[in-house]
Amino acid sequence: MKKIMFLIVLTLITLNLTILSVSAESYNYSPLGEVIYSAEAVSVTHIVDSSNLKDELNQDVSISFGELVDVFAYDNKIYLVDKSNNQVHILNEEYEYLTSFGTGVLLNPSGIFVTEDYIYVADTGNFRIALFDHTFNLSSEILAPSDPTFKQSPDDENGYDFKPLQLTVNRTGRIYVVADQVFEGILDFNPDGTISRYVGANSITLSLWDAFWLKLTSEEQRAQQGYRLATTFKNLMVDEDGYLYTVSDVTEGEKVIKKLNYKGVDVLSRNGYIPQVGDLVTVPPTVNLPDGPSVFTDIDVNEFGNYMVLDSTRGRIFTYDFEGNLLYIFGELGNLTDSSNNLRDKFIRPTAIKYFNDKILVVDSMNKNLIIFEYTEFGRLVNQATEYYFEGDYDLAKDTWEEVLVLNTNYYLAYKGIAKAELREGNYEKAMEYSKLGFDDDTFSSAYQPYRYEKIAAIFPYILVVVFAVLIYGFIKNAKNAINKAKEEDEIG
Amino acid sequence: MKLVNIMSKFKSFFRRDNLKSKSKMIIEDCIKMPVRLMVYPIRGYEEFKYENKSKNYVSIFYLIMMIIAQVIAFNGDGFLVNKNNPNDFNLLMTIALIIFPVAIFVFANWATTALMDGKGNMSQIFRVITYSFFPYVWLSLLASIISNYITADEVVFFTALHTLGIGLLAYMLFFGMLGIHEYGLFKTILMFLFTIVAIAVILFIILLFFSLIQQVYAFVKSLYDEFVMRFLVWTR
Repeated sequence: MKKIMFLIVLTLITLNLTILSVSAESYNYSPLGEVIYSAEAVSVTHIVDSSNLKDELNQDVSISFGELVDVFAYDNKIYLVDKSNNQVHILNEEYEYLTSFGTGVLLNPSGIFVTEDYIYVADTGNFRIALFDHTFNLSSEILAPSDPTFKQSPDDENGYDFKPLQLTVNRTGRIYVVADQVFEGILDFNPDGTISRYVGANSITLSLWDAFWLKLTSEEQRAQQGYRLATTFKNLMVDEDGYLYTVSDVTEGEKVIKKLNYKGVDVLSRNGYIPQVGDLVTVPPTVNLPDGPSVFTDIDVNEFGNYMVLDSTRGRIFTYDFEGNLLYIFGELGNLTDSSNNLRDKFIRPTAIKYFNDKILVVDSMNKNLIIFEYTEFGRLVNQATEYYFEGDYDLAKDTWEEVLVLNTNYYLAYKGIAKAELREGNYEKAMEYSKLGFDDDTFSSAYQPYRYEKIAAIFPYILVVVFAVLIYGFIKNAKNAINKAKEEDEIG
Repeated sequence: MKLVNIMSKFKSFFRRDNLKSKSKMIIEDCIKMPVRLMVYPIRGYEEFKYENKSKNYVSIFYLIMMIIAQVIAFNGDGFLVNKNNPNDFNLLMTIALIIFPVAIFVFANWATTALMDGKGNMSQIFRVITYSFFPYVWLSLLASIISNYITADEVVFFTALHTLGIGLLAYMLFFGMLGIHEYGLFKTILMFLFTIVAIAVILFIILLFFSLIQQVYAFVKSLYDEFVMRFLVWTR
């Protein structure tokens, strides 16, 4: 009987291993900033490109994708922006081709956002934002705002061209736009298309050394040095509550990802083990991988406050939860040694990412394809746990974190999550144990305080008894001595 | 014969009265004298220098204690204050990071004060430095112990103990140097500045020396290789 049980267990273990193999490419960062192996959180399930594109009747479609630069998902439809064909392609949820629009109307489009009323396209080549209705007729357009920064007419000598690159629209129809050569922040348009303001400009910071030299230089020298310009935004996305999630250029340092409220103040919580800058180790072990800091080109946020950013340097996608913890990393470049020998499920130049129901869409402008990722058991459990935690179901979160630990013992966040749940249940010793494993100072401290109190309360009566005993002993001894002395004096006297 | 001698010495050390008087002497040298130096720095360092009240074994003791305190701080500090990766621990490095700075400081200070009419000799300088470890060593050990029993709000006490230790170290070092070199206040400050410059020069020379040695080694090695290739390796 025992033997049979043993065999069953063994087969179960091996089965588990075959289902969830840990690939060497999948990694994460430990709280101490080391690279550690991790379980694979997502896997590629679908690749859509010109060669396997079918329509709803399963017929081949004679359309070839050009340079795909942006992707959006709305109402179970996928919108792909094709920059070189000046088109927007629409696929349904089965990745079957529905239609395209924009030929002759768009010129080098680079961004898209879809709401119930309109399809907003950043029509960069025509210096405007084009609004289409859902029958793909151009219903209105937003031209350069009446601001001296921009050319008011094509023959205007002063100002820059208004080149919208990325845009997002919030619930009330306000349009937020990242435009080329704009350092004042994000352009905020009213729903009627008039400019309202600039929002959330990155501030210029001077190092001590720069400030010192600036003090020494004269007015003319400063004029020759050129402008110190604020870091530009690269991309943005609005969440359900109207917060803007933005990614900036790398010069923004540890605040490269920002969550801007309506006033333009950064309110992103940064409570993770490591700063939200993508790769911490920027010199990769493989020689073929490019080095340097992660450059984020796209960001997307889901309904549980989890957001993912796309690193174009090494083609990786980092997912963070609403508290700023790094959940998992996936995606990799594929053309490292020979570009002709590229694997289709790897990137060459990924440009945009988007959550699509339970899947993740990534478009690649060089591969000219759309890659669909789905969560593995591990990734699904991690998401589940963070969702439970987000909603306040700490017990359920704890159970899910325990399942996560079965799949990946090195997942520090799970220990942290369990520690928090144990603390709420009042199991202080367990909470301390898990918070130590999870490198969680706050939980450890909160658990240690009542634990220490319990310990002291347990031994304090004994200490009190001993102290009293000593005091009474001393008192009696002193009193006896005094009495004896008095007696002696009496006898002498 | 010699062994028996040593054995008898060893035994006599551990005889009861001897042990008592020896331990009293050790406490006198290791604890009371440094405390006296802290409380009465001017008079204390006079006694330190002229009345033979400073001992070399105490110096060595505090040098070793400093290393032990560092090791314990790295490995034994409580969870809330210890952000070290235990895999990064390197005993040799810890020892070197104490011994070499002390050695360089002693040499640099000796070199500077020799030019500035300092009255202290090298052994005295060494003793002043190691005696000034006294407050830091004990406070750091105390901090390591209490760090295991504190919550996040009480980490202040830990940092305060460390800061106090470093402050007292600097204080003892300053008055020690002032005492043994028989300087005034201003000259002591000047001496410290020059010592820092001397340390910089010494480090520069060490670096230069190592890079030159490397080049000489490379030259000799290439000469040797050439010789082997030309005369010893038989080729067709």
